[in-house]
Amino acid sequence: MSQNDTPYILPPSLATQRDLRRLINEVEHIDNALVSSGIQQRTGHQSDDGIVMSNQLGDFMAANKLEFGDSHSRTELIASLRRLKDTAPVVHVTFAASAGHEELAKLVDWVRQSVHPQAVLAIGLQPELIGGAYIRTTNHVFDLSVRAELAGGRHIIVEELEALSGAA
Amino acid sequence: MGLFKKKQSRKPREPKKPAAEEAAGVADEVFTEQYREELRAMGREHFKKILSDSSSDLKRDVDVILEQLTGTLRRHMASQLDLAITRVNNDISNQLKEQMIEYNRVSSEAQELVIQSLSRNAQVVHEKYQQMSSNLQQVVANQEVMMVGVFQDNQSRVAAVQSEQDKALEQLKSSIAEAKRQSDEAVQQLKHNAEEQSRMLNEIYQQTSGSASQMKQSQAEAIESLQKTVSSLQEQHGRLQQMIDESITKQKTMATELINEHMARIIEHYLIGALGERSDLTKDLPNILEKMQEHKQAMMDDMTL
Repeated sequence: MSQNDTPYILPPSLATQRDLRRLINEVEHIDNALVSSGIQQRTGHQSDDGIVMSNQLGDFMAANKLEFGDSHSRTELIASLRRLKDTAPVVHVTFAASAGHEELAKLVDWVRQSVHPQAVLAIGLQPELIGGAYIRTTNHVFDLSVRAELAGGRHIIVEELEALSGAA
Repeated sequence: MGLFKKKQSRKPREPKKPAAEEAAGVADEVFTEQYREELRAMGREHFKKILSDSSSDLKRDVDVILEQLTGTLRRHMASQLDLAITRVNNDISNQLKEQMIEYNRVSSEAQELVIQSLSRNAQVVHEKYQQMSSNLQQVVANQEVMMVGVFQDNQSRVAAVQSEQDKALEQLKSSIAEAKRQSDEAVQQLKHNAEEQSRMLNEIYQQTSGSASQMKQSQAEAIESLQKTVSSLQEQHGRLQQMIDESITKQKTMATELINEHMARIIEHYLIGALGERSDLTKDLPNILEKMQEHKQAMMDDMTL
């Protein structure tokens, strides 16, 4: 199977769209660095810096058992990653408080295991939710926030008031 | 030998059976199946007859009881109806009595008022009559005094010119006659005036009495119109009261509904303001994942579309 058709395994550290874009930029940067290094070697110059990979890139390369081989494979990898960025399903999740890495990793792990293996998240912040999350997929909205639960329980207040006024 | 012959001519005796067996045999001979069947038929007929007699007796008894019940029920219903009619009659008669008492009271009050007004009018008329009669008497007295004075003047003239001749006496006599005639005419005129005035007073009195009756009638009409006005005012007052009560109730209901409608939002805003910044995602994440699990299939379907 070629790299074009390979469904990549996205590690938990690669949770959001932004992470994916960063990954693509990093791969492009590495590709450029390797190409420059090759040219410099051919011209008798030594390359200055070694390749430094981020944890996310390292996790991605390890999860998919990839290596930075020749230029052609790197080009195909970049193209595949760009296609993945354009086609990966996005789940917009809005929290009431800032989400840490661990929480995002757990959430994206659940989404990839339960919903789609290549889904990525788009994180938002809205303190008015009080708690829970507001989730939006392509065609649906799932309001799992405390604010929605409060709105859904309005009838309890109305019933209590009616009971009080009836007792009075 | 004859005895022995007789003895010999007898049939040989059969051995004696016991009495029970003999009786059973007789019974078997008598109570054959046919006889038993006939006995059964007779028994059935007898029981049928007894049953029919019993049923007819029972039916008769039930009819009698039903008739008694019907009669008792009718009597009870009639008594209840009589009681109700009596109660209604009593209520109606009481109401009529009250109405009649009220009517009598009002009519007596109206009559008193009319009588008072009539007595005042009569008093006024009487005063006027007295005044006019006193005026008339005064006028008549004045006239008499005047006439007496005139007569005395004439007499003094006669006495003063007594010494004169017959012409003067005749003139005096003629003047006396003339004066007498004038006085007679004046008296008649006065009488006529008095009669005229008494007639006028009578007319006035009659007019006054007529106007008093008219006044009485107009007062009755005024009382009736006042009563109608009072009843209409009372009706309007009742309607206004009802309208006020309804508007108060409606406003209360509206206020309650507004409070009920907005209380939930007010509390919600309060909670959002108080708890909005206290959210901890670490503790909340398992709950969120649990809720997402419920919508997992919908998310999967959405992603695969």
